[in-house]
Amino acid sequence: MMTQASDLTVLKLNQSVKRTLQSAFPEPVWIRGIVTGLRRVSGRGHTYFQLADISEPGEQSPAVADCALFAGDRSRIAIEAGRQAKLFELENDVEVRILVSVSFWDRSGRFQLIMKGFDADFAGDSSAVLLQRLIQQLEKEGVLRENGTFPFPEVPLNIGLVTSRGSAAEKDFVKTLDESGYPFRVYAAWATMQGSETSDSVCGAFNRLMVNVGGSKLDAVVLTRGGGSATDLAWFNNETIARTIAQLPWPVISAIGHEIDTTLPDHAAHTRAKTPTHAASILVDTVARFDDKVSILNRSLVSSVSPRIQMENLKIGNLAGNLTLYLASLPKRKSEVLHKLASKLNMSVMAELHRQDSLISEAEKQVEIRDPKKMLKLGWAVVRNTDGFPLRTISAINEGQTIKISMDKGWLAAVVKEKVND
Amino acid sequence: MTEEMTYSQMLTELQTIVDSVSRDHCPVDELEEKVQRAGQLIKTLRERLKKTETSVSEMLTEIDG
Repeated sequence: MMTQASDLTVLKLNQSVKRTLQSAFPEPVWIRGIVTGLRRVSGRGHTYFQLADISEPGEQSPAVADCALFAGDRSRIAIEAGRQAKLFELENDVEVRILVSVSFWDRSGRFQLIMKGFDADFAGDSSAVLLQRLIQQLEKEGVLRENGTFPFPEVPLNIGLVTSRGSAAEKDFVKTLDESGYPFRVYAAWATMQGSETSDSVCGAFNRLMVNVGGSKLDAVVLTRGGGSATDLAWFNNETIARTIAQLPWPVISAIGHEIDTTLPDHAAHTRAKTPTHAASILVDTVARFDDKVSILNRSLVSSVSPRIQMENLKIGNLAGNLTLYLASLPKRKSEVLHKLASKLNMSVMAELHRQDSLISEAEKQVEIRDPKKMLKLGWAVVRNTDGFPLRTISAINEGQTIKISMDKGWLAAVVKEKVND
Repeated sequence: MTEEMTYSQMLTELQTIVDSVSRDHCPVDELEEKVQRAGQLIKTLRERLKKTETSVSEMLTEIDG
């Protein structure tokens, strides 16, 4: 490409920008915004800060502009305020209304607002009011409740840690975990914990935990830093950090500053801890409670099983005792039965014998009664023919017939001389 | 099988065993098996809780902190 005579140098371009700005803003203008990053450069007494718009909920990062208040202007403004019995003071996180001239440094290409005046009557929103407004908005959207819906893990041993490397917060936190004797695993993702990079750095650290450790491996994540000035801690009152916490897959413990400090992550997190040490204690206590639970279950197992075993032993003992007694009594019982059976048998046999005996006696009597010898003894005689056949009636006998007459103690043969019928 | 279980899973199983042996109708032959299992769970839980050393690993990619 050909070099053109009309090509600008950087300086020329900058000078042109400067002239354009000067013509657009020939006079100082009133502007309002939040003072941040206030610092005074010692020596000359100049003051530098940034003026930022109040960030509305949902807005990513507010617009900012570099400002300078030169020592001369500073004392003039202070004197003017003093004349009206007002106090002139610039403070971080306070909304101010100031008069500025728009300037552009052609050598550095830097845009800067030069503070020329201060509205001492302007009552801007303090940062606390702004924070409150942000909290209300996030609360309404449900952002602050999101992380709290996680059940806090029963055994939080795998912990993500977001803090600044080598800080007292890190040391206090890890020391407290270590002293507990429980096998904590800490996955540290270092972050810048103050200044304008805080939000990006903290969200980046959360992201590294997500990518490098994974969503399911961690039980909880701790976001912590030690105490500091309100300005230092105010970097956490950041909407992006709160929204990121709401989207994390683990419960977050927020421990930023000291007991008295409350920052936005404290509201967005699952649990708020007062200090880094307290955050570690919450984890240690949770694991200790689990440990106790195991011990209690152990005792309860022993106490419910031992009586049960004793009872079963007793049952077995009783059964064994009963059986022994039964077995011991068995022969006796058996012989008793036999004895009874035998005697019963004996008795029936005897009765039978007796009955038979009576029958025989009776028969004998009957026989005896009918014995002809007995009749003969009484003087009766029996007549028979010679064959021995008894002749019972006269008609069976003929005259001249030989008959045999049986009598007591003998018999005689006779011949029938005469027969007379009755 | 205990090796792959999480603490909470083991605790739940332990709790169930303790509940069931506390009731009188648990058959005695199951009792032995259950008590043995409970003992194993308690031992594993204790062991895992008593490894003592806190380990810190750093997530170093894109580190700027």
